[in-house]
Amino acid sequence: MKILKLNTYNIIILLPIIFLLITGCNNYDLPEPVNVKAPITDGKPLPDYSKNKFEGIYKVLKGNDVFGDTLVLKWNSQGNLSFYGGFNGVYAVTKGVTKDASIYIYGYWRFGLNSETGGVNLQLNPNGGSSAILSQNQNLPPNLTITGTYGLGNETPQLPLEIVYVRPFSEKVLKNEFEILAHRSGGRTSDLLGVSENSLEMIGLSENLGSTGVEIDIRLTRDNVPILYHDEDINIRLTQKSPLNGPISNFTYPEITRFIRLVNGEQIPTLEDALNKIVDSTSLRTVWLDMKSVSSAMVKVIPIQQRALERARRKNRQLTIYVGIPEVEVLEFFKTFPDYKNINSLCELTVEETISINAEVWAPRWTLGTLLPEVKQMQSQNKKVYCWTLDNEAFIKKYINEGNFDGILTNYPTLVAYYHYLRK
Amino acid sequence: MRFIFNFVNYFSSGTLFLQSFFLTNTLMKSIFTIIICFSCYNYSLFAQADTTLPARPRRVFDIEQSSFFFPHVWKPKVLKAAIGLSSTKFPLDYVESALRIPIIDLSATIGLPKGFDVSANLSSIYIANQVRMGLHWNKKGKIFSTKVGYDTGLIFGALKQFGFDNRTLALSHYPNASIGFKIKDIAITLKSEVNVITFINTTAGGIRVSEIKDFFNGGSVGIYVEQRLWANHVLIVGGRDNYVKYYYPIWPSFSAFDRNYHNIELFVGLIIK
Repeated sequence: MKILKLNTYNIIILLPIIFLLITGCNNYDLPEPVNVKAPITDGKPLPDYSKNKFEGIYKVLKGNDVFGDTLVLKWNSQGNLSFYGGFNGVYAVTKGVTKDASIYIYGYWRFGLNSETGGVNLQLNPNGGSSAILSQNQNLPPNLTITGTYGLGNETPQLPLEIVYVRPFSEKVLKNEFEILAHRSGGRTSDLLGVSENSLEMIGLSENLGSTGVEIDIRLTRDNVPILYHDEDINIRLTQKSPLNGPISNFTYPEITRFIRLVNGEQIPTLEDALNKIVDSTSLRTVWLDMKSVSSAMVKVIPIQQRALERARRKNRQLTIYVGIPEVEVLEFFKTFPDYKNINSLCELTVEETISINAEVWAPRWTLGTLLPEVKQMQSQNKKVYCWTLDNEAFIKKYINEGNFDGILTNYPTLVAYYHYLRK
Repeated sequence: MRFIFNFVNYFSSGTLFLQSFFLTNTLMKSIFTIIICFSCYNYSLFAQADTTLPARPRRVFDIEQSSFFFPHVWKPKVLKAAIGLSSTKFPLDYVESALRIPIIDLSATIGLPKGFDVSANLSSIYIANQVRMGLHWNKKGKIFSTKVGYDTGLIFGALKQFGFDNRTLALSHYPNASIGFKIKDIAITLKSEVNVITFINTTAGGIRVSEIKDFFNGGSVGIYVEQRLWANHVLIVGGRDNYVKYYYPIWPSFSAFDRNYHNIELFVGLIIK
């Protein structure tokens, strides 16, 4: 048998191959989901008046290594209490239940900017303030302190966590309908949230991350079904390995549902299913339809948008669904629709083009700055301005404190929520 | 020099077609002059054509002294320059599509006494650039030679198109070490460096954010093979894996991921002096 001889030229060929094999892949594993255990078995959900009482801004006394200095606690329509912090985009999604006049808060925490995670267990006893929270007539005691533990990974939470109530949300925050818009229906697959972007599951998660609205990407299948999918082609960034290859528009929806699963195992949803989920199972106020496909997709999308809005009206839901206009080509096609000026639309182009189609929202790229004069001009004409897609924490803070946007589209709604709810 | 310039002047008088397409007359002549001077000096083009000139004796080739990356004790005041091209495929999480961008790379190193050398390097993709300067100490061994050094990089870039109005400025530090060995006329060098970023300043539409990070950004490992291409000219072929959080060529993506990615650069270069 001839054995490979390690001469000069073989070494020269082998070294780069070994180098590429060692370094060539950006593989990272999903964090193991935290096994959340309820501290009690027969707790009852908290009444709404109790929930509202202890929403607000908290100072972290113990547990700063993970939770930073300040936390925002906010309930959502999913019945969960979310924590938002400024450190690494930390957040927690918890349940709150009551038993024997005590309140138990338990769930998981996670960093938004990376995938570190762990469990959280907090408790409030009657003499620590739970009686006042559970009573309809009593105010919060001064210096309400919630204590408990948190853990790293799937370890049993044992590290001390202590937070003290500082203040409720400001009038400005409560009055203002600032939109926290979550990119790709809640978050990107690449942020390793355990659910895939542009899926029904991500829509279900998005409010826990602080969003009040979502942006979803629309493409058209070969049989003209609008679906939620970002990239032009089928690829392993978004989907599990499958026998299908090439542009997603080459395949019919039955083929896609049969052969393709998103990275975390979900099906690619139709636009209709996604909007029904938003109307029926969330309290999201805003949906931004990002038209990724050719302009002709609008012919299919607009009737679905109208049906979903009608469904929301019947359910007395406050919901606006905007058709996104990202390019001039799409704009020209949009203008061919009869009565296009009365279709809810969002324009990413110029101020003039936004006004010309009577779009309700102007959406400039965040990289252009806070654009204060233009924002003022649009708001004076009763139009909203959302900037996209802002992920940098320092700029999020700056734009919320110094800008005047009506909403921010982001991959990190937890960070936007934190800086928004902190506003005085 | 004057003779060559006159020659170019004469030669280029008949190249109006080229001039009208590409360059102004003076600039074109200057570039021709530089190229021809360089060719005369390095490639002996005219010596080949003019048989009355004595042929330059071929120097004894020594890959160690002719190499650029290979750790060796540099002769003081000896200058070497290299030009190269890197091709980088960015991680899909940053750019979401298969995107490969060429980076132009210009490097020069000058020898100092006692095994030291100073190097300067410019890497550019137009919207993202880095100027690096570093001091290194080389030690020759029996089998392996080594080099340790410290480089500082100034990263700068601007993008004012496609809905961007951004500038960036950052300061990066690269403590580094190399080990090399020779096989006949081939030098193989393994270079590793640590990357620390101490300052990033970014503007968006005039809004400025400065982040003094002082964080460990990651590091890189590279392999470079240097081999004589012709005469005394050396070709460099290599690859480098930058396993970092902040990778300067992709700054306009404003990635917020708090994790390292492999950014593989494939490099081809030529030592030009």
